[in-house]
Amino acid sequence: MFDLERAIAEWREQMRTGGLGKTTVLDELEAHLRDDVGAQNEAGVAVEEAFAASVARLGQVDALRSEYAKCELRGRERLWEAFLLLVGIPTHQPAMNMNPAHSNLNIEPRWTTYTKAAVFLAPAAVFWTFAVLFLYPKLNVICQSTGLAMPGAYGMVSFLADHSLVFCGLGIALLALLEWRWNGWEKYRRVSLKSTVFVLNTAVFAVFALMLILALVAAPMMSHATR
Amino acid sequence: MIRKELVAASAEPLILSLLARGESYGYAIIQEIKTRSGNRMGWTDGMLYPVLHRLERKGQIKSRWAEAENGRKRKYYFLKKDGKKALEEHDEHWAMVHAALSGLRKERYV
Repeated sequence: MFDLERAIAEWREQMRTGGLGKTTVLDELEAHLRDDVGAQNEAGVAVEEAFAASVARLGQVDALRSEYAKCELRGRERLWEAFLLLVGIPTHQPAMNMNPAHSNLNIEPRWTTYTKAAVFLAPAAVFWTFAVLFLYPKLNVICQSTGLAMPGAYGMVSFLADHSLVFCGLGIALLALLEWRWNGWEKYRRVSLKSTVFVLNTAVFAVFALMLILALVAAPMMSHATR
Repeated sequence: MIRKELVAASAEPLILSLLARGESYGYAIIQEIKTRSGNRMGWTDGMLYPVLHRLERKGQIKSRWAEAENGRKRKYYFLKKDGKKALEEHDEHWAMVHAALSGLRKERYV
């Protein structure tokens, strides 16, 4: 007895070993096979023959692979894709297993996006608080006692720290406004939020690293000063 | 059978024209092209998909996965603004080729 499911699984495996490994590509080709087999079967062809004919019509894996390779990404596209990946958005891999009842499967539900953004921002928030409450005053003391001038960039940090609540409020107000007034926001919500989180994380990490470097530079001077 | 090179050259304008009428998915696109060409466009079915892929990369079409009536998932494609522009350009070029050919053909019989 011919088992279509097994035949399809075997065909997928063949494609994969032939170098056509992308799940979405195989999903699409599989959907095609199923449609074609179904149509032939309705016209009176046995499933086994229909499947063999469909696979033959789909073509050799080498030919398919080289056709797909022709539309691979170049240069700037590749950079953009890498950035999206860093931000945590797998491209060309629409979220299939989310909520199938949702009218557009490719748009992440609002609460998912916001929860994820909040979770990924949490470590940065902790580091930022630590840096502002502990590291920054400490650095100030060190710099004063060694007579080392605080580099200008650190003035920015104290300005941001003094007004963190204002900036948070502004950010939330902006998001609320976008949700409320702009219908197209839905489409850009995920990429904008994730990019912002990525940039904030990177910035906090950079500030933290710079503070540590300054402390390391100043510490030996302090020991000279006390001597 | 229509020559392979001509089939390849006409793939993009054919797909764009089909999608200009509304969104569709790979299998339906292939069937439609086969019927319209009286089965004389020698497409291997699989060749359509890389072309769709390429058009999407170029930003002329977009895709989304959705569930069909029978519960199976399908990848639907639809035209974007750039695709419409590209289609207009294709139309213009094909019309030019057609005009040149038919003009010459008429002269042959004078």
